[in-house]
Amino acid sequence: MSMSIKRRDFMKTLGMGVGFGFVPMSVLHAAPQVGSLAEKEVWVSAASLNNRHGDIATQSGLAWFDTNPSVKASASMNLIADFRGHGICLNPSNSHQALMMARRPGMYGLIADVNTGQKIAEFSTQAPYEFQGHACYSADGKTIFTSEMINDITDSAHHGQGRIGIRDAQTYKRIGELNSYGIEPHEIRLMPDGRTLVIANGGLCPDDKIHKNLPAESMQSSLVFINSVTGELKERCVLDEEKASVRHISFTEDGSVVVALQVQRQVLNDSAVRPLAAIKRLGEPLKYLHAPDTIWLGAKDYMGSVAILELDASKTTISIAGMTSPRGNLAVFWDVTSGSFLGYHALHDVCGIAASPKNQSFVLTNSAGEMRFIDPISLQEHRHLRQKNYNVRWDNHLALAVI
Amino acid sequence: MKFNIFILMFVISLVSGCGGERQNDPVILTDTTLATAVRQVIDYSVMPAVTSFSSASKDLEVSVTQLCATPNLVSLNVAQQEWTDLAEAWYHLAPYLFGPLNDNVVLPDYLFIDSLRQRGNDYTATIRNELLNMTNGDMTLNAAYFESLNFQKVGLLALEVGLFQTLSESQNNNDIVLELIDQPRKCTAILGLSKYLQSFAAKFNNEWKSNYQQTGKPYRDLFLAGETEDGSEPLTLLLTRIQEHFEYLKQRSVADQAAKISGQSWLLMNASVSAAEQFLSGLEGMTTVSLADLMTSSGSTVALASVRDNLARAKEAVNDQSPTDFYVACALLDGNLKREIPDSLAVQLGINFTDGD
Repeated sequence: MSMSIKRRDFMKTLGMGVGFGFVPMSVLHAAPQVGSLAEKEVWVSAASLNNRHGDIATQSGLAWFDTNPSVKASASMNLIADFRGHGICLNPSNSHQALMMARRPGMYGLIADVNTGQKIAEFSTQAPYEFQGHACYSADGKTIFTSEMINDITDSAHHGQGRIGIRDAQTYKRIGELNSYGIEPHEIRLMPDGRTLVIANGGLCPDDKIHKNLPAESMQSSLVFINSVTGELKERCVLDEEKASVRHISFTEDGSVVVALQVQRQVLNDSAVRPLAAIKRLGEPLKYLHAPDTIWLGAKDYMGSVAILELDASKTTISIAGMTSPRGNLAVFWDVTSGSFLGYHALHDVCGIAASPKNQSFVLTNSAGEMRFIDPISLQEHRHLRQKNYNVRWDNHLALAVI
Repeated sequence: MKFNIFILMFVISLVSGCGGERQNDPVILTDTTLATAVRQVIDYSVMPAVTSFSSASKDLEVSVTQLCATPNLVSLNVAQQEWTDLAEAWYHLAPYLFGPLNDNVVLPDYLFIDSLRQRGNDYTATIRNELLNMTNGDMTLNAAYFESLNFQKVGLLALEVGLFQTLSESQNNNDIVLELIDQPRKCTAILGLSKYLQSFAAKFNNEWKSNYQQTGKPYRDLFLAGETEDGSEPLTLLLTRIQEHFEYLKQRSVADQAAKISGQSWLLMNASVSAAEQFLSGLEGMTTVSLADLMTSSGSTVALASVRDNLARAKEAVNDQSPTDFYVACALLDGNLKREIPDSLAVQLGINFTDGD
C-alpha cells in the first residue's frame, strides 16, 4: 500500500507551475553515479541466511544480487560470516569490494568481492575499542574509516567516547584515529567534497544501554562534521530533543544531510509525538522534517535507515529522501529541497533502503527476503520488479554496488 | 438395492472421514494447521466482531432516531444502552486494527470511531464545544457537515458526550431529556454523529466481507491469501496488532481514560481481554484448531500457561476494577504476544522489528 500527495501538489512544492517543462520519469537522466549501460547494479546487505528448507535463519552473512528482473533472485550470492553484519560500504576505487561491518558492539569487518563471491579479508578491533556498525572509505579508496567507541568502565575519562578508526585499505591495519566529538558514533559517511566526514553520534553511553529504564541523563547525540585528514571539527549540530538519537545519515550532491532519528521513549516522561527525521542544509542549523503526527506515531519512535535519490528534471535536480521504520512497517518519503512530506509505502519489517539511479527507484528490503522498487515521484511500487528470496532475511541496511 | 445403499453410505462415510477438521483429531504444528488456525481466528473471531460492530452501530442509529422522535427517559435509556453495546463491540474489534479499519497511515478510519486511540488524548472539551456549536448554530446538519468534521469531533466519544450528559455537563437523565426536548438541534446532531459512525462500520463490514478498496474481493480472502497491506504474513499481522492493542491499553492508561462519562470503561477492557482469549483458544463448539492447541502440540506448554495466567490476571483486574493490576497484566500480555506466542508457533515477527539498530 502506498500513499502519496497529489502529483500537482508535489509539482507545486517543487516550484513547478503547470506549464513547466517537467520531464516524464521515463526519460529522466539517471543520476551521475551510473555510467554506461553495461554497468549493472548489485544490491548488497548483511543478512541472515536460512537453512536449505528456507524456514529457519541459521547463519549470518553478506548477501547480494543484481536487479536484472529477468534474473530474479536466483542470481543471489552469499558469504557466510562469523558475525552478524550491519552497515555496508563500497570501495570507490574498486566497486567490486564491499565492506560489511559487524553489528554494534562489534569486533569484525569483512571485505568481499561481489563479482567473484570470494572473501578478501577480515579484520578485527581490540578492546577497549568496539566497532559501531558502520564504516566508509576515503575518496581514493586507500583508507577505511570505522565508527568506534571506547568501552571501558574503568576509564571514566574516556568511557563511551567516540572514535573514528583509520585503517589502511590494503593491509587493514589500524593506522590512527580521529575524535568523533561525541558519544557512540554510529553511521559515518564521506561528504561529496571528498574530505569531510559526517558522523552520527548516537549519544547512548554503554551503561544506558544496559540499564535502559534509567534516565539517560548522559545522552548526548549530535551530528558532527570533521576534516577526515586533520580531524579538525568543522561543525557540531544538536537537536532540541536530547532523547532523539542521531543514528543514520544520507546526503545530496550539494551537501544537504538528511538524518534518521530514534527516540529513546523509555527515558521520556511524556507520550508526545517526536519527529524522527531532520535535515542539515549548508549554513543552516539541523531542523526537523515535517510529517503528519500519524506518520510519526506509526513509525514508533524509530527510523532505521535513510537514502536519497536524485533525479535530473530539466533545469533542476529533484532530491527525494526515503526513510524506513521496521517497527512501523513503513517507508516514508520527503522532498529534500522543500522539506515537504511526500507519502509512504507500507512493507512489513522494512529496513533496508537504497537509491537505484538505473531503475529510478528506491529499493526497499525486509526480513522476509523481499525487495521492492518504489517510484520516487508517484511512490507507487514497480510490481514487475518485485523480488522475494526465501533463502535470506535482509538485515538493517542495503547498499548499491555498480559493477 | 439395499446393497447399493449400503455401498453408498460406506463411501460417504469414508469420504467424510477423509477431509476437514474434527474436534478429536490430534493437532500437530504444521504450515497447514497454522493456516487453519488463522482462518478460524478470522472466521470465528474477527468476522463476527466486524458484524457485531456494524449491527450495533445500526441499532444505535435506530435508537437515536427513536429518541429524537420521542425524547423521554425510556428512549434515552435505550439509546444509552445501545451506545454501551456499540462501545463494547468496538473494544472487541479494536485489537484487530488492520485491513479496512486501518488502510491509511496518515488518517486511518479507526480514528473516526475512537479518537483516543491515536495518542491517548481526551477530546471531550473539543466535542462539547462542537455540540454547543451545532446546537446553537444555524448550519444545516446534513451528512456533508458531519463528513467535514475532523476525527477529534466525532465517533464514540462524541456520542457518549451527547447521550450521557447535557451541554452544561449534567449527567442527570431527566436533565438530558429536557434538553433534548428544548434543543432539538442537539438531538439532530447526535443522530448525525450516529449515522456518520454507522457509515464507517458499514464500510468495515462491506470491505471485510465483499469488496476491499474496489478490488471486488473481500478483505477476508485477501488476508488469508497473504495479500496484506504491508506484505506481513497473516499471523504476524494478527499478533503484532493485538500486541499493539495491549501496549496501547497500558501506555495510554485506557481503563482510566475511556468511557469516563458513561462509567463503562471496565466493560470495554473486559471486551478486549475476551477478544484476546478467543484469539488464543478459539470459539467453543466451532474452532477445531486453535493457536493454543498448536502451542501445546509444539511442546510450549509453559509458554501457553504463562499466557493463560496473564489473561486470567487481566480478567481478575477487570473484576476488581484495579487499573494498576490491569496495566501490569496488559504489559505481560504485550510481552507474551511479542515472545512466547510467536516463538511457540515458530513465527518470525521480523529481525529488524525485533532488534533493529
